[in-house]
This record gives sequence, C-alpha cells and structure tokens, in this order.
Amino acid sequence: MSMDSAIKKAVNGLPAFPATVHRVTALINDPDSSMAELVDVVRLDQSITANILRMCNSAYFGLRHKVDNVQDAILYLGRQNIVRAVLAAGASRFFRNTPGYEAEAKVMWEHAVGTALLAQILSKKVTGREETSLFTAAILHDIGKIVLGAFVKDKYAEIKKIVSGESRSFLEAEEKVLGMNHATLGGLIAANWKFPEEIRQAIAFHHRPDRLASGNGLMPWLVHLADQGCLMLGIGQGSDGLAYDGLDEAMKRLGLAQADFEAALARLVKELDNARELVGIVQPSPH
Amino acid sequence: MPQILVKLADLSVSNNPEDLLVVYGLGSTAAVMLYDAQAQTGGIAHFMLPSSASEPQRAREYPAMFADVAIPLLVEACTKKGARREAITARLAGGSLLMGQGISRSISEGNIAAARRILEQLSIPLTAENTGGNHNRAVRMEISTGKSFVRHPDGNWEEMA
Repeated sequence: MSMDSAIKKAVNGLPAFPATVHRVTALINDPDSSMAELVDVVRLDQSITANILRMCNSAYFGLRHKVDNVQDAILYLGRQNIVRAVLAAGASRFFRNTPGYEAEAKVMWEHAVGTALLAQILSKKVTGREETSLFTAAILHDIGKIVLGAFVKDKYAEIKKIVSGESRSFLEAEEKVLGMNHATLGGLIAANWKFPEEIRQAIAFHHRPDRLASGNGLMPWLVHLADQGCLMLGIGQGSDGLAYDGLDEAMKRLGLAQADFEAALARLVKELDNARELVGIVQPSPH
Repeated sequence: MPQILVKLADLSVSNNPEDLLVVYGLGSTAAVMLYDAQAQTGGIAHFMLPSSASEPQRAREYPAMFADVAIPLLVEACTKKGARREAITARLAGGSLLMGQGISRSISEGNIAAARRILEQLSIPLTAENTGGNHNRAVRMEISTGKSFVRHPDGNWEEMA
C-alpha cells in the first residue's frame, strides 16, 4: 500500500466525532431549542456528562455553585461555555500517546487546551469577541498528529535529517517524506467529522495561514499565533519542538503589537492555572 | 531522589541534598540555575518574558514570570536557605527560537540577554549556558553536588559544565 493510501486508511479508521457535540452546537444555535432538549442530548453520552461535571467546577468557568448534575451545569454555564465544555469533553477522547512526536496524551491535550485558551485571549483583544468556532478549531488544530504520529515514527530519522540538516520546518519535512503534513491531515479528519469549512481550513492551514486565499478571515491566523505562543512557552512539547515557521505577518494581520502578544502569553499562564480541571480530563495513559 | 518540578513562571529553592530540581518544557522560556557548593544550596527560576515593565500587576501575581523580577528573587530565596551571596554561581538554559523567528526572536533572545545582564549586574558568574536552537529542553540540578544537566531532543542528558 502506498504511504498516501495507508495514511488515508488510518484516517478512515478513526471513530466518528461524538454526535452529541454537533447536536449540542445545533441546539445552542437554535433560538427555539429548550433547556430540557439540551439536557436530554448531553445525558445520552455518559463520558461527556462525567467530563462536563468535572470541568464545570473549574475556576475557568467561574461558577459560584458546586455543580453535580447536567441540568445545573447547563443552567449555570451559559450557552458559549456549554459548547466549549461539551466540545472539550468530546474531543479529549481522541487524544492518546502519540509516537513520532514523542508526546504523551496528556501533553498533547495540554497543548490543545493551551492553544484554545490563547486563541480566545487573542481574539478578545483583536475583535472584542470570543468565538466557539475558534475554540473548536484551536482545540483540534493538531488532531492530524494523532494519526500521522505512527508514520512519523517510521520515518523519523529521515524527517529529522531534513529539519536539522536542511533547516526546513518539521511541517515541510513531513510533506517531503510522507507526502502529507499533520495540518492538512487534520483538515481531512475535520471534514470526515463534518465540521464546517471555516474550522477545517483553520486546522489545515494553522502553520501556513499565508497559503490561504485572502478573505478567509482571522481564524487561521489566530490559531497560528496561539499555537506558536504555546510552543514558545513549552506548553505541550514534542520531538518537533519549535521547528515551525512563526510567521512575522501574523501580528500585522491581527493588528497586534509585541506588547499585546506578551500580555496575552502572561494571561494564558493564569487561565491555564484556572483551567486545571479542563486539562485534567485527559490522564496520563499507560505506556 | 525526590524530584521537585519547577513550573512555568515559578521558582524553587532547596538545601536538601536529596532533592533534584527539574524543569520540563523549556521553549523560548529560560531557566536560571543558582548554586552555592559549600552551602549545598541552590534553586531554579523558570521565567518566560524578559521584562515586567508593561505588566506590573501580573508580576505581583507571578513574580517568577519575568527575568527582571525572577532572578533577584531567586538570589534572595537562595540566601534565605543558607547560600552565601558571594559564593553563588549561575547556569542558564533555554531561549529556543521558532523558524522565521519574527514572532519569537524578541522574547527568546530577550530572555537570554536579560538573564546575562541581570546576573552581571548582580556580580554572579555565569559558568555554563545552553541556549538557542529550534528544540525543546529540560534541565535538572542535583542539590547535593550542584551538577546540572540539559536534556537533548534525542532524550540524552548532558552535564552543563
């Protein structure tokens, strides 16, 4: 089997994304939906229910009451936070120890959550808003690594040689050796999972938003900058390290000054402290 | 040997010869390791930004986040644990760069430059450095000996001498 078809076969072997997440998103966006419908949908998925209850007592969501049932969780979280909590709970099940990138499940997840939080911090600064679709794209931006890792592991020496010997980015080395990079692959996975185009593109182009035709909005740039910020802070390190292009253009596109970026990084540390329960829903898995 | 993890934007000091201080996840961030051999006392600060000037409030909450606050604070914490101010030596690791460098250069290089400058101002000799590159690092320091090690991308630890 060719490398390309082996990778695609591995993508098709991934389980479907939990339907609960898409149904919750649809209900939240439907002004006619009722609280009871939402509660019923969430309750259908036991693992999501358990994770939501755990997460919503996190300081990140800022609830004053201790919550021990889905109805109260939904009542107190608010619409945007429900989607975030359900999405995080649904996405977390796909994070596992990832060979090739030599990253444990917990480390991959911490990087995903860190990137999602930083993307929101940056978005708030740039547009004054926090968007659920941005949170989704950011939390799933490296999902391609989950599949590509096994292939990276097999060809690691070759990839590493291109990165260190030719000073090329890890992304370019993946493309050259495997015919596919983890970002593009992530976009394919997100398509299989029926995420909208805006999210798929932000995932597929998170390292190279400059390769997207203009008019695609700020989301790919926000995910790019948030990802690079987390790499810089060592949040979720792997064998690929910092061997990616940090595009100078990102700050200009987003209208951010260096001081804004530094303030956002500083704020991220605080938010990650507050989001320990969110980070903690993926436990170290046995080797 | 009990491992004490020094998190991002944090510092830790020990005079217990059993202890091993460890930092995982050094990216563009930097770790300053201080040690007094005779007092067998040392500490590590893991900071992420060169200067607290534009973030005074954050610096009160996370003093070890910024080189200019973290390093003097680490010196003070070491002397409180028994290190003699004039006997302290320093090692420095971190400051990795993204490729293209535009986003990370001022922070990565700023962290390293700030650490060197502040140590010089404090007259603390910098005896070893392991900085730059595009890879992650981890560092550890044995309190019994002051020996410090840096982990390479291939997983091997090398002594910083």
